[in-house]
Amino acid sequence: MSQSPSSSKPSANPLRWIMGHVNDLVNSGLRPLSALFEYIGGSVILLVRSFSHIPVILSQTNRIIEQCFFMGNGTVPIVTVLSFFIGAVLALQTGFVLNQLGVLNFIGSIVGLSLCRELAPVMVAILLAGRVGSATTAELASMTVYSEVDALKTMNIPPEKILVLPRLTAVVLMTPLLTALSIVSGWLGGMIVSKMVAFLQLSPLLYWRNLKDFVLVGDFIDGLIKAEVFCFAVILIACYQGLSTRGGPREIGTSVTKSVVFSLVFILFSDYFITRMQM
Amino acid sequence: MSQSPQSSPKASDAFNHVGVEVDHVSIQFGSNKIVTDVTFSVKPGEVFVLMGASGAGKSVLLRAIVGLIEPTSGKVLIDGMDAANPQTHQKIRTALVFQAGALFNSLSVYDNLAFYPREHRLMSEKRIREKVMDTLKILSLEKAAGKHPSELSGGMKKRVAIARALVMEPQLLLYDEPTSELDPIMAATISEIIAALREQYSVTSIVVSHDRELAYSIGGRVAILHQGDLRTVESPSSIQNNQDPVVKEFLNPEINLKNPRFRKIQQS
Ligand SMILES: Nc1ncnc2c1ncn2[C@@H]1O[C@H](COP(=O)(O)OP(=O)(O)OP(=O)(O)O)[C@@H](O)[C@H]1O
Ligand SMILES: [Mg+2]
Repeated sequence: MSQSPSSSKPSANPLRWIMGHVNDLVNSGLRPLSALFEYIGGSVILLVRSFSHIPVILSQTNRIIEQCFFMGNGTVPIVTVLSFFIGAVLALQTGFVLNQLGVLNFIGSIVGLSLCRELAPVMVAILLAGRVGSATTAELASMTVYSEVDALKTMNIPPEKILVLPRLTAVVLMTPLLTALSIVSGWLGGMIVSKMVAFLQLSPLLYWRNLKDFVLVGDFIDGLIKAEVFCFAVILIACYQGLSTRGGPREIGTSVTKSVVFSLVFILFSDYFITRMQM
Repeated sequence: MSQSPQSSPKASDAFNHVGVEVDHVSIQFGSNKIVTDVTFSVKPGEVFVLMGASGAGKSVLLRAIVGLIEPTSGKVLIDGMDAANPQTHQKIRTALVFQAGALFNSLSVYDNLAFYPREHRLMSEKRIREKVMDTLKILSLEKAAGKHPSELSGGMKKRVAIARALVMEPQLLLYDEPTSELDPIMAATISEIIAALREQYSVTSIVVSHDRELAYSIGGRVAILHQGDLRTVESPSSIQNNQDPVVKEFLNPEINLKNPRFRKIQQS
């Protein structure tokens, strides 16, 4: 950031010195803000451009299937395992307290609801950002930096049509599956821990009955909506970040980092607001 | 090489003869002026050779002609239509052979060539196969069909980039230093291909090149870009007698061991 000359020291004109500092402050405050708006605007434009190719989306079927496999391959194993352990830990932590209060069978509802409404969507989105978002940004950034995207444009093939739209479609299709997988796996983790751990020993039957009493279809749907918003944003951010990369290998690396960080920030910020809206 | 029926114009159409007008074009990046007020026109079916020192702005000018960048001021017109408008490129098929190839690194050589006709569904897979293999054969690349760009030599990449442009059957073909990495025989082959395309299909070509042989043998006119300025545009025979010291030095630089250029630069 360039230092304005007036702000170096309180010279003859104190007013100018103060104004210089105010100016610097405003500038340094506004620059990230305007960068943020540029980012959001750029992503929205990318989204609109991609959606303009929806009428010919069937021509991209192969790419969509390929992306579905890519997303599934990258995330299914890790989502299953991590959700299982999240459910397990949740049962352990809450079970310890609930046991002392004498309402042990509420483990079912607590594990059931938290996974469904909160943990599964966030977890799926975070894992998607780490495994798929980063790879997407790296691929698109390298295609941009090495002029492959320019080559597409000169061939009259819009990059949004073949690079972005298939990925966005795939993520919309895959997110419900991944989220459901995460929820069920977490529930199972909670059940097994409640049954096996010596000081809990809650029968699976009670666990499921309590879970069924409290978890409604609406909770499931709220969770899916959340997950769709998060995951869609993760892939959109990844594509935008990749396609707007300029420079060389180092910038590709920076872009990948940025893509993951922005995705995480978006997930956790918007999580609060979506949760609030869903209440 | 025949034009496919589904794609817009046929080879024989008068429409195929596309002219290019570069009209007072200036391009700058930030405050950095790269091209200043360049004007020239390329006639339909002409082979126009653009020469100039490294860094003079030739590649930037080509990018403006294909519409990848918009001139800061001035206009590029292709067949009377603004090159910065994407619709122009939907009406007129333009191909650019990038200086660094810009091959799709995740695709094999074969798929790189087949990409354009497949994406636009111009012909059956069988026709594509024939066409791609024919083109590869012309450029002695048949053996490389299954390889990926990372497995190719520099000159092979260049040839694949040229082959990919040829498969597109463009009406306007721009080459960015097509012969720079090739052996003399392959360079001559490329010159012959450019000339043959002009004769058979009236393809308009703009060739950025340092290859004087290419310029003199197939160039309809030769232009020299010097520090962002157009120094001269004239026929190959007259440019060889040009008395402008810049042009003279550029076309026939003397290798002077007694008083080398770099010493003069060091001393000044
Ligand atoms: N994207 C860009 N941003 C900023 N400056 C650029 C950009 N592209 C090119 N330039 C600058 O424009 C000038 C001309 O570049 P250009 O690639 O057109 O040269 P050239 O005539 O093709 O040279 P060569 O014969 O070496 O390929 C160079 O000084 C380069 O630094
Ligand atoms: Mg160049």
